[in-house]
Amino acid sequence: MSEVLYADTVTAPIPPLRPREHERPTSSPITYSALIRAHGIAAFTALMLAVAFGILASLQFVLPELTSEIASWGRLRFAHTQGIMLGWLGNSFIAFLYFAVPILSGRPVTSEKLGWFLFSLWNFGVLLPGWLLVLNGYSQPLEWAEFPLLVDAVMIGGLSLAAVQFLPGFFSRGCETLYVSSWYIIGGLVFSLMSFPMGNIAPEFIPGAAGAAFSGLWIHDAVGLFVTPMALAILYYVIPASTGRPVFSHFLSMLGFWGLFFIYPLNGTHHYIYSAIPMATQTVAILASSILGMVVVVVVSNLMLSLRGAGWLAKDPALRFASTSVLFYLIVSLQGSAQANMGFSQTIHFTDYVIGHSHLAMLGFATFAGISGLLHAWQKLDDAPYHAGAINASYWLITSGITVMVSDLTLAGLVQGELWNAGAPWVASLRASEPYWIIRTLSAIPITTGFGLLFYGLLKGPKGAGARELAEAKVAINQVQPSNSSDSPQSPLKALRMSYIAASVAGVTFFIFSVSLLGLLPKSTLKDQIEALAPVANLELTVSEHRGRRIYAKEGCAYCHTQQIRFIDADIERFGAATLAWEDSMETPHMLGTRRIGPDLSRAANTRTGQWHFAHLFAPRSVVPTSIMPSYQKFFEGSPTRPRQEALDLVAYLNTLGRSRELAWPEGEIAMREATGNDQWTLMSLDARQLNAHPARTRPRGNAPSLQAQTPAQEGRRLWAQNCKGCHGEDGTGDGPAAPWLQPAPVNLTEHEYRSDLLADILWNGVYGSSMPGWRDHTPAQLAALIQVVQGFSDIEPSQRAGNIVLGAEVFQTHCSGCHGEAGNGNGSAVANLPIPIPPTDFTRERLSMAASLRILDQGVDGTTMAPWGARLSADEMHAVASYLQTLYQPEKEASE
Amino acid sequence: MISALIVYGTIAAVLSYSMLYWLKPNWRQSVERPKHIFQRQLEAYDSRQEPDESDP
Repeated sequence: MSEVLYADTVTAPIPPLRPREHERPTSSPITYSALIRAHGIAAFTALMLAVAFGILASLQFVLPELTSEIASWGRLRFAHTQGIMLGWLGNSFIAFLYFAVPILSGRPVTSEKLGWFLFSLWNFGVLLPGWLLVLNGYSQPLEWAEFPLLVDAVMIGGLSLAAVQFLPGFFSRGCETLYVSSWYIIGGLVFSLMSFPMGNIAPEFIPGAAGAAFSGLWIHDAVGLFVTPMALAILYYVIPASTGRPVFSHFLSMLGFWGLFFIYPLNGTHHYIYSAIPMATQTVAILASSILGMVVVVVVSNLMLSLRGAGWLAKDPALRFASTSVLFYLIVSLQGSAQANMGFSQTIHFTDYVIGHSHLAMLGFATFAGISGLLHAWQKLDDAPYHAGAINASYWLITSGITVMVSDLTLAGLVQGELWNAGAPWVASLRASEPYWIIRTLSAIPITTGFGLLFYGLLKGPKGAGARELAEAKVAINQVQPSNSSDSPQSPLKALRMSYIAASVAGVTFFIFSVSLLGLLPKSTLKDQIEALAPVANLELTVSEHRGRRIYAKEGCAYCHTQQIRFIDADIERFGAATLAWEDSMETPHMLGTRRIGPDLSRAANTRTGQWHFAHLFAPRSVVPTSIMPSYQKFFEGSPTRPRQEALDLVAYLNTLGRSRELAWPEGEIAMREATGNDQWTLMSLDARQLNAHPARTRPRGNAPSLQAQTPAQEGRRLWAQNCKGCHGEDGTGDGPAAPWLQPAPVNLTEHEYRSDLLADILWNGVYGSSMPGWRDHTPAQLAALIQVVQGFSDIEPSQRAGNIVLGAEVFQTHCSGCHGEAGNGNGSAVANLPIPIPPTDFTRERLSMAASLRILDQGVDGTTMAPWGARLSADEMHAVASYLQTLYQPEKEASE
Repeated sequence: MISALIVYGTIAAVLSYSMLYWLKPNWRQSVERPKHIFQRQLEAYDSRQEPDESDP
């Protein structure tokens, strides 16, 4: 049997130590079993509910109509993430603390009564009202901080009580004898108390990118200063407790502890790489992310060395969950460091890759640690039921489910990022993601079953079975790797005590330093930048637009649609000039967002008509057949044509996005260029080819590329089904599901014959003033294929130069040429002189059937300036005009000749 | 400048902590001491939890 070398046994043997009075174990059998059980059961109850919210949210991606009927997707997501962090992890950590703190500190917790008060406050003052409020639309759109301010205040009370409950015992002994788990518990509670108000309250009152800087800090601190310390406290506790051997090196564990608390708070801004937050701040965060990766390698190496002999699949399930948590911690941390790399970030930021990463952190690393701690505590409760079979089965189900989910989301993210960088149409990323989203939802089956079995295993089964299993497992490990227990070292140095005090002060100072560096400094820099670049009179939101903004926030729109065009080519090409800090300097709280399922909305103003927005909100798939957006029928009186105030407000708000920059153009751009000096990032935004590059935004006719059909007809039909049939119908008859809600109604293409150059123009530029958008995100080959499909729908009679053409010409020149032009090319004098929103028909490039011409002459076209002439022209005159129009058409061959 | 400060500060802190650990046996033993204390606490806790066999 090989000799075990522990980190502190490399020197000469040290005589056994007689513990000093205050170091003698004073732990007694558990006195807080009721509190442990209460928090344990609350943890699993919260977990099952939070997972249910998560499953419903994931179903939105595969069955988009489903959740619209239950609760909006955004609200479900709020409830999911807050439930996992505060309900599940919070309760499981507290349960573990009631078990571990008396043993670690040798002192009881402050008060059992206080414990029950804390239990009530945590679950019935924070979690339950938080859930009820966010599900009913009272929330703040800040990631990992969605519970409203009132609940935040109660939460701060809860964290304070937790500190009062658990920390005094540690301070009754010298710092130099504190075990690393104790340090993590102290650090976790103290730093959570400092970072929670900073991250949950400050961004509510600080607008735009400056607020996002604080949000970024909290997104990272929530994981780094609350979840990770508690999870590591559990791992450092359970591994030696379960193996019966000390950790490999307390030196490395303390190196990791201080490294984590010094470096973690500096990471926050890496959630907003290439944003308007000053690049110097981003660079610090990126650098800190790399250093953090190294710190984590030290922590994980130490934990893995401590696990020697136990094997990855230890017999004790608590240890098995702990060892898997260690592995997840390594992967997720290295992932995090890589994600902060600027090159990699360009591809994977905003994609499902990051969602996979966060699930690996919270549902993998932290949850496995939480389970490990709960199981270990449960095993020690004399009268706790323990069903070994169910618990062992749960491990395999949860592990396999999470592995599938994270791998799946990682791949999905890479695919999405590549498609975005390639400039493919937005819906292409949705279509490509479909199989991954189905697998993600299916992966919830083993995960949920596993959690259910685990819960069952802790509620049913023989009492005391856990302790027996743990004892057997410990014997098995020590047969492989016996403990070297004769190496008790000498008494601690006084200098060490001083160093821990110094490090504690430095840790708190460093946290303040991080908030100053990554929060206050960018705020000040951005203030200067905004003052220099913003227009003198920035248009403020109206009351209706403000209400719309609140709706946008509470429905979680910012969780699918970013409002930041990053300073990278792919974003600028797709959406337009990168977002400058002053553009959202009046957005409180900020809506920058960290995920793009739908397109960025920074420049949403005037890209769509109001009717299109109403149809899209009421029935998203009616206008975008492959959309997965939830429908918001609650904002309408049964139809998009009868919007309630909420819909009007929301659309009013959407039409403000990007408005300030657009209104400032072009004088503002010139002024900004003069004011910015040599700032390369501002210049990059100012040098963008287009301020608003939204591919659907309608433009004046012209500049369409020459289109030559190179794509198979089948591809054209597929594109039609994905993009056009919602309005124009499956067969081009103009009766798609959205048709009744749009004015002018989508064209019945069977009644028209178009020349290719006109169709190219319409597809490229859209039809200004109508809901027909541009399709500039499609390749010329794809547009050419669509033109073939449209021309194939035409079912009109051959052109006949019959009827009273002379009379028709007379009537046309008298009544129609003002708009349609003397030559019928849609370029009459009124077009230039009157506010005609929709271009009049160009009859030289478009021919209507006789029936369609007569109907339009008689009834006009709703939603356009084409008036009904039925009361003013006789039937003969109308017939003559319709016949005359046939003669104006110049088919492609004729035109080219 | 701040980035350089973080990098050099981190390296300096880790190096000084490591050198101290390597060159000062007393320091090393003191740093490692808490894990042994914790182990004894665990053992003591387990022994107290086991039922006393002398009880009738």
